[in-house]
Amino acid sequence: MEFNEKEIAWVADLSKLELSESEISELTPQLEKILGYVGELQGIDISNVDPVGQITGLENRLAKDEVCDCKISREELLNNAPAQENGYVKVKSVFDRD
Amino acid sequence: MNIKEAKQVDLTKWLEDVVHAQEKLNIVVNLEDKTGKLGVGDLEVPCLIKDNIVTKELPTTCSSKILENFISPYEATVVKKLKDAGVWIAGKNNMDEFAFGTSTENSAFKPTLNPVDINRVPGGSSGGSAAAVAAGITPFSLGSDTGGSIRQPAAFCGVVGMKPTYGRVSRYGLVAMASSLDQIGPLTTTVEDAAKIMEVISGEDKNDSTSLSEPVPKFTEEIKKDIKGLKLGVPKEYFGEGVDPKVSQKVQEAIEEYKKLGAEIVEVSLPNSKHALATYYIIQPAEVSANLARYDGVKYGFSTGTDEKIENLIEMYKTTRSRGFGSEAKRRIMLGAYVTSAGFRDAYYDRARKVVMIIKEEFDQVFEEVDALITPTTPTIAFKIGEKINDPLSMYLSDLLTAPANMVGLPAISVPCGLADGLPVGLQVMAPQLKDDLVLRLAYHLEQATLNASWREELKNKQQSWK
Repeated sequence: MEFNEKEIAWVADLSKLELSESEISELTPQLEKILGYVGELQGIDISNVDPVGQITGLENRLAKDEVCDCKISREELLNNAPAQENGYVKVKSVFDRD
Repeated sequence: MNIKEAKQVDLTKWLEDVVHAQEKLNIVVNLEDKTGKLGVGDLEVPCLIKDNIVTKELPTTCSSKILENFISPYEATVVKKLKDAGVWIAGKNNMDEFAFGTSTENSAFKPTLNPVDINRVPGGSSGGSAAAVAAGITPFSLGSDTGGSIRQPAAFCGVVGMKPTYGRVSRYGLVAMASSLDQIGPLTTTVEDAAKIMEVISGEDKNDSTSLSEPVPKFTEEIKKDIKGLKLGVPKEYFGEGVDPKVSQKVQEAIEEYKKLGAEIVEVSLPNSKHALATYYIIQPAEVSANLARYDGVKYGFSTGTDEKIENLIEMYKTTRSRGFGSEAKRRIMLGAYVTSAGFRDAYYDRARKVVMIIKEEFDQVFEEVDALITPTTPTIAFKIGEKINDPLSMYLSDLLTAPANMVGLPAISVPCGLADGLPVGLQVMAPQLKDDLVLRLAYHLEQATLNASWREELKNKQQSWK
């Protein structure tokens, strides 16, 4: 598996990460080595094998369709938000202004 | 310190002892500054738990800068269960950031030292938990195990550590790492204490749809049933390449003890188990990249959102995450994004899920022949601080023998079985899903058979050597 700096930039963008130059030069060979290791699976015959699902075999465990009491107040939840205004979480603009 | 001894401690003096151990070993991230109160129940003891299990009284940081000041508005099911049993949770154990690692060197704060030898790592990611139990500071801790994070540090520090069957213990309030693999479990001084904690924390929880509804056995009674006639499989691949012969030797000696106790030993083969770690390092980062998307600087945690110079949301996400996450977290998020991306998903993620099925079917077949499996817990004894920090892959290989149980959902325990080069060796017992009582029982009988072994005294002295 070859991993170049262009690919690193693409994966970093998917991951919503901004990497410094030194991080890029450190990460590139590390990720390449790890992907090389997990690449050992390429040689295994997986024809006629189903992918594993829920490992203990549970299926369709749904909660009852009813409103349950939430003991956490709006204020308590908002207390952890880095920025808030008028009882709402405040975020940067999603769209460019122009 | 076992649970019985902890019931006698003076809480104020105990808290001072924790502070002292903290100065020497760095076992906790946050600690109560005042003496707390015990509740009423079977477990009236103080304790410390891993810092990825949410509590309302203390912050939950996951040893990450991105959650440095985070206080959860709710508490984990296991926390509620412990409190209902009388426990006072006094502090939160240090760990690898978000449980990524096998040495606790990835903590954003400071690495934990192994009390047995302070130049060595305690293992990880539940390294603070294992070190605190080994140092005799806490009667037990709760850790989390996604690929070996309870058992591997338990082996490195010479304590008991158990990963229950997937779903046996509720994950509600465990900060999600890889949700299909994560499981909470106890680290203790004795197997009987592990059984006791398992009785308290196990069971179905409506807040965790993967928790299992089967009744919880009385583990403390089950473990005492004798083991005569049980068939124990010894998979040869777990003693082969990459495993230190000195470690294998100690486990082989313990297998002789099992023979003396009347168990039948059968050599078995699990040739595809060697691929479990590779499937782990695809599926785990894949789930990590999804689970860690929530750290976006909007709802909680560290954020660049108050910085006026940052104009739009994407830039805020990127700067928050880049400054908040440590390098191992970044590596895993990126690996996960890569193996699930369009174009590569088939070759990595989908393929890995099929290989897990092959590994599972192999275990199912072997368990038709034998009741449980005996292996080493780790390929090596505790390594030196700094030895593997620049080589992530070699760090990952520490979970070679523990990851299979996570991939297949099996219960597994690590119990001390001797010393190699003066450092503890862990023996691992694995059994079919929901046979948590059996892994505890087999660990208990080995422990009881070796209570007077000469290495026990040496281990005990070494665990106190940090003082």
